[in-house]
Amino acid sequence: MLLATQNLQFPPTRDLIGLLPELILSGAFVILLMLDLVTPPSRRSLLAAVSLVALAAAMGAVVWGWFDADHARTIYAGSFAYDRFGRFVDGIVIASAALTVAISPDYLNRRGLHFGEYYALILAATVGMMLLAGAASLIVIFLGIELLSISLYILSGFAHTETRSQEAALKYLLLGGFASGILLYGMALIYGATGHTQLTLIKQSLAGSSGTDPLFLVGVGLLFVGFAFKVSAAPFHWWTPDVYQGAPTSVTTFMSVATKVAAFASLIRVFTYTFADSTDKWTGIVAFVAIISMVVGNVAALTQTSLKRMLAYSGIAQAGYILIGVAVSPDPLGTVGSLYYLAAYAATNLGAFAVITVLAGRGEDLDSYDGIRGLAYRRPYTAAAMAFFLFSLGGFPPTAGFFAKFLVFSAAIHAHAVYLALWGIGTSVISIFYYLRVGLLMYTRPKEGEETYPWARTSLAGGGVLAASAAGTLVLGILVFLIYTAAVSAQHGVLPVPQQLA
Amino acid sequence: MTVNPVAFYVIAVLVVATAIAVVAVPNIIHAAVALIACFFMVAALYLAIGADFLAATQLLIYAGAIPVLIIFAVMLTRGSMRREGNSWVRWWPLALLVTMGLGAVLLGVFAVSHDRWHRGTYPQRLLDDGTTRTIGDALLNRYALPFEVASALLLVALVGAVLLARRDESEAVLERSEEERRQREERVRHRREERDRARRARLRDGVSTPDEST
Repeated sequence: MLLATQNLQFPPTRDLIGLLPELILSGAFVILLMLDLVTPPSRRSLLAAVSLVALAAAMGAVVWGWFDADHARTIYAGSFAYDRFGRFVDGIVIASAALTVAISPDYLNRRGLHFGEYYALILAATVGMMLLAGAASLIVIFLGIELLSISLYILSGFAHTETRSQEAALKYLLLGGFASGILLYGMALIYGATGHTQLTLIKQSLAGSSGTDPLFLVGVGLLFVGFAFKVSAAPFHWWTPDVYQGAPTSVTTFMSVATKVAAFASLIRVFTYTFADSTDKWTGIVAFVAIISMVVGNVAALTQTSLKRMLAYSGIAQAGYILIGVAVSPDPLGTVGSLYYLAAYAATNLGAFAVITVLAGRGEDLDSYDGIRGLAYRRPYTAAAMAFFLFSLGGFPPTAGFFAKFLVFSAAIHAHAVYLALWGIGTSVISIFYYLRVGLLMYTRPKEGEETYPWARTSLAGGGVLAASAAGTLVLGILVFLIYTAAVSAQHGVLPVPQQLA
Repeated sequence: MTVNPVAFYVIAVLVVATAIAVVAVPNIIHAAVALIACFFMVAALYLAIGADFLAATQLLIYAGAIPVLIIFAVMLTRGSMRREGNSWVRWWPLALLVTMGLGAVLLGVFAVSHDRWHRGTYPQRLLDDGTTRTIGDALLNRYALPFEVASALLLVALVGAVLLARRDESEAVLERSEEERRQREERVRHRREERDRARRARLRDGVSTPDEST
């Protein structure tokens, strides 16, 4: 096997061009580390500006790649998929990173956490996510996950003096390491069963078999557990509320959105498209985990009194809805639904967390439900934006959340898995309760003389991010075809090549 | 190429025995020494299957550099590491049960499918050129991307370790902001007291004025 590569010329230019967005961000990562050394602490917002420029350049490269990757191909000897599916996910990840970076300087300054490495680490995590989204080899999947995880472990723990942040980082590190071990074990078994690490070759070698090899099946199971941890699906979600709550809110904003999007992209690529010939062996487990996530996430969110924990449980429930799109494999509508859901989730959830980040004052971090009581009477626009995001999370039209749920549930019905749609609709009804509860709190007039949380003034950047998220949520809710056609195109081009379905 | 079964089992038993010693001995320095022995045995295992390059790097990095690093870390953080707490948590029977269950499943899988593992054969070139050249070729061609990503990963880990360890600056920054906050609150309280005093004074005056007028 090793010999076949002898004539390969390294690095072929077209392979390098395929990795252009990742290369831009990796370069910016190094530049930021250097720049941090010569930037005085009071001018660290400059680093945010540099990161934004790099992210904009990477976004340009991704958009260009979307048109260039019309004919999907693998690069780097089958390690990386240069296809529209990957570009679609890259777009979401980069946009999330850019919006996070834009709200960070104000928040970090107020919390006294403005370290230059912050931006470099955000970019490193972004590179990891993009590699994960495009990875076409088990090794690159693992390295992508580790790159994003290690960056996020550090980011969630870098508030040194806050015990909760330290606890979050340690929990995340230990449980994340454990999950990575399980993932790696699964990969080793799959390698043992098929003799390949490249997804296209794994798919080829599975084509002839019945898919009942116990080695392969246990490998698939362990791999799924590893992925389920990363997308925080129940019952592998225990770390999520603690980490989301403990980490600095700007980090939570990024982590809750981008990690899930990238990990789901890889999950879909591996399960729906690589293990496409044995879907009947594993879709049952995926459907089970989807239902558990929807139930556990929504029911646990009911009793929360912390905004970040509520959004964490809501994120677990959303993971369940997105998993429906995987559970209906090999139906292509499932993938399209999941992709649309990921875009909608990114815009909405990023907005909701951005509101908490933008409002957080200097003292106690904004977290408890009491903290937003009466928000609408002091910050009417911010409160309206938050209400809009909550409506979207609850799945009301005309927001992104409505069409995302609609597409996923209709995919379930199309694939004759009506029970999944019913579970989804039932749990969505529960979710409306806790989203509305938060919404109503914001519009509760504070009593005369009652102290409200000392909300920070919304800066231009903060307001811009909220407006951008709200615009994204609205566009995904009204101009559905814009993203829907893109998601369909992404699904068409995904590697390993999907089966042609009648 | 075949492995001498006697050599394999002797090495395998030693690997497992030293690995158990690493987690079982209470003194952390003894554990580090057991770890060195364990890494040596793993290197021997690599040699037994003809992976000479891997065996050499295993000795250099794992048996050489890493235990030194561990021992340094132990020595430098003596105060926090020396406490030999009870490492048995309350739920250990449950942990044991879960681990044994998982172990049983995995062993069962190996037992059922031991003949299905993909067995590669040593390519002729591996025997001609040796493993060093072949590995170099693989890393720079077929596995170029993972190789590069791994280097980025290590850099990020390094930056993170420095960031988390460099507490002086960060704590100074946090203390400064905390101090500013305290001063601000002090100012606010002061101002409020001032205002209250003024109001009380005004009130007293206000009350006294009508008194005078009547």
